[in-house]
Amino acid sequence: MTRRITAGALLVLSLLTGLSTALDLDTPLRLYLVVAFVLLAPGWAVAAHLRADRPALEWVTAVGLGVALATLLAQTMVSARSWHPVGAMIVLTVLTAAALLPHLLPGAASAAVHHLASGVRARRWGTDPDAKASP
Amino acid sequence: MSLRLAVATATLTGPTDTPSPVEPPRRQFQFPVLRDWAVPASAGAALVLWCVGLRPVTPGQLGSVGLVTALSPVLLASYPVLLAAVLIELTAPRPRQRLLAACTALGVLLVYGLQPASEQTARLSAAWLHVGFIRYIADHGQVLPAFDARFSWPGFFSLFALVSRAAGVPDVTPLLQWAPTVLAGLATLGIRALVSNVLDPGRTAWIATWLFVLTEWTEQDYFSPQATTYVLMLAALALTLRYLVAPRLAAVGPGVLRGRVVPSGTPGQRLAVQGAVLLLALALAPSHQLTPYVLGGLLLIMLLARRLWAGWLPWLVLLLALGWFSLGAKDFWQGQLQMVIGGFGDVSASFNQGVSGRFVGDAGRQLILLVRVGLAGAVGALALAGGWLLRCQRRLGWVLGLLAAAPFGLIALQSYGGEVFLRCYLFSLPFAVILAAVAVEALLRPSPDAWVLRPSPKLPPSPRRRALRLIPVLALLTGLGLGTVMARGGNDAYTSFGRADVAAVDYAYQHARTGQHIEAVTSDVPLSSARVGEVGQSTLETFCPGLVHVSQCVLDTHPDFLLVTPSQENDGRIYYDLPAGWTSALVTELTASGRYRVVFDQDGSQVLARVVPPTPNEPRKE
Repeated sequence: MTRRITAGALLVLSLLTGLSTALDLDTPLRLYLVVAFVLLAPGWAVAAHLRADRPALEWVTAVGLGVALATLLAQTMVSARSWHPVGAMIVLTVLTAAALLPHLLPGAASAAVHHLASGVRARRWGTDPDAKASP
Repeated sequence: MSLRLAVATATLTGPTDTPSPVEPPRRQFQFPVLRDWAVPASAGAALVLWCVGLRPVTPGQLGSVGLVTALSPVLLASYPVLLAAVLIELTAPRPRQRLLAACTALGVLLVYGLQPASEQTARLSAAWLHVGFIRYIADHGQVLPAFDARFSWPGFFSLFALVSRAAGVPDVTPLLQWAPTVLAGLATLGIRALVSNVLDPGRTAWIATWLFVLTEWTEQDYFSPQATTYVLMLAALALTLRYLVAPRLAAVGPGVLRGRVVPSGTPGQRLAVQGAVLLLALALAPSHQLTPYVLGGLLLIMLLARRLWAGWLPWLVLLLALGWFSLGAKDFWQGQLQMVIGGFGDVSASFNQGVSGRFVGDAGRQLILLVRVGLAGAVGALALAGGWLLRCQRRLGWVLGLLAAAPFGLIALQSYGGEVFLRCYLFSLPFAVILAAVAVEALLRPSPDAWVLRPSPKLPPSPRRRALRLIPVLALLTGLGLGTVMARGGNDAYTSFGRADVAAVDYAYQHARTGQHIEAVTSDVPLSSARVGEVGQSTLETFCPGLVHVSQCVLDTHPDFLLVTPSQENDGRIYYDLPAGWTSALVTELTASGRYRVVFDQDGSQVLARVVPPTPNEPRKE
């Protein structure tokens, strides 16, 4: 339930950031909105799939991945000399919103998606997760 | 036999984190009932004391000891009150995790929010310089080649250029003032995640988190690439320690393993975590000169100690960093490779620049430096004691010790502009505080027998004796916390600014034409926050050693605008032993020469504009 509430709040944050950027809203709050979005939303959308057992780990991972994704996006544009910051931010908010949607699914559906994903990964790599003993 | 088993179990699960089997239930004491409301009330009282004691401070009010002399006793009292609340909660049989988390957030505010709350504007000229770099990228979509070494690692600047353009603001100045509080808070979150994967997330882990909050005096948490990449490094380390390291770094067991152990968790989780660490390393490589190498080095130590399951990870992290250095930072090393590798192995040069060379200035400044050395020494001594205790408990201490000591290897590689010791201490802290916390936690135990987890024949101590045992720990933590508050604000007489300083710089930007030159006497000005690459912006400090005959230096360099501020006045007095009022004398001399006149004057911050253009036989000396 907490996970769904967090995902919902971050979805709202992503949509507000995307809309305010696209509409070029003139408010001093927009800077803080964009910073909050970069720090929290894209990283959490990815980190939540790890199902970390401790909030500190989940949130520091979320912040780290969010900053890393945005840094790579910005640096790619600078290195490629193709600077389109407004468009890039709108794309990032849309992708983040899409990545947050699965976390909003009811518990059973979300667990099924997660189970399916980990099952596919386990089969692909051909290892039994917990059976290996220490040498 | 069963007692031995109980002790062994406690050791395996983290000795400090589970209530002792002989500990009586919580409700049997009156003290815990009192504690239920006393702890949050004390934390609230600490916040009230801090808010009531806050006073606005300007650089002109500060002396060579810095901010601490301007702080009220009421505000200073807030620190022991909060620490007492935390210690009382930590000694409860079942500490309330959310309450401790709230107290820690409050601790971050009290230590790292002090300057933002009491000073008029963001401090440290480097933070303002970063705003200028970001503004350049935001305006031009590229870096300025061959301008500054930091532009060769532009990841952080590119990130905030993206943020500022998406937010529709000309620059990110509004973020500067509270950035240290936010970034220190995120680093504390990272430390909490990291230590909870080395120790259990109980008492010792909380003490380690608090030791970080109370001993991070380096001030590298301002709006900067190093502060941001530090959080990324902590995230990568915390993820690695949770999902890719086995057995735990402080686990019971043989000192050396014969083979690597598969960590708990699913293959999918391990794969995802490797991808996440790789993503973090990808972002680190173009963002900072040191951090990715430190991360790679720490992972390499874990691999060599046969704790890291993913053997390729440290090599790839290092490869990414070297790849960026070779290709992305070519501007930096081309033509100055000797400067980059010239200090290799020259430990004495690093020591001279990083320690002995810093002991200059008046008595107040030297006192601040001694406090910093004392804090680092205290953390080192506690870490050594903690390592010894782990050894006595038959837990693995040497890998943690190696991880805490390894960053000091940077001393042999580079002096890093005299900052290498500071960076080493910062990179060492995540593991040093774990070892130190083991020592501090032992002080809360009833007897030396319990320090090494031998079963004690004594009965559990009374609540009064428990409370008495808190006193030395409270004194220790209060000393560390107040020492850090003193050390962090120690340079504020010249590293902090007033609104008038910012207004003076803005005036110069508004009136300077492209190609003109704005100069400050010392670097303690919020300069280079705009018009980077368009208007020359520099300081006289390098051109005019010791600021001897400073007015002649100004006339020789004949800048179009000269900035004179109270922070520079303080710097000259504290750092260069100049007489009080030396900036006023400088302004008088320059105006008397007829070549300059004061065009802006607000609260002691002045802008002088050149009124006589230089003659052709008066080239600018640089």
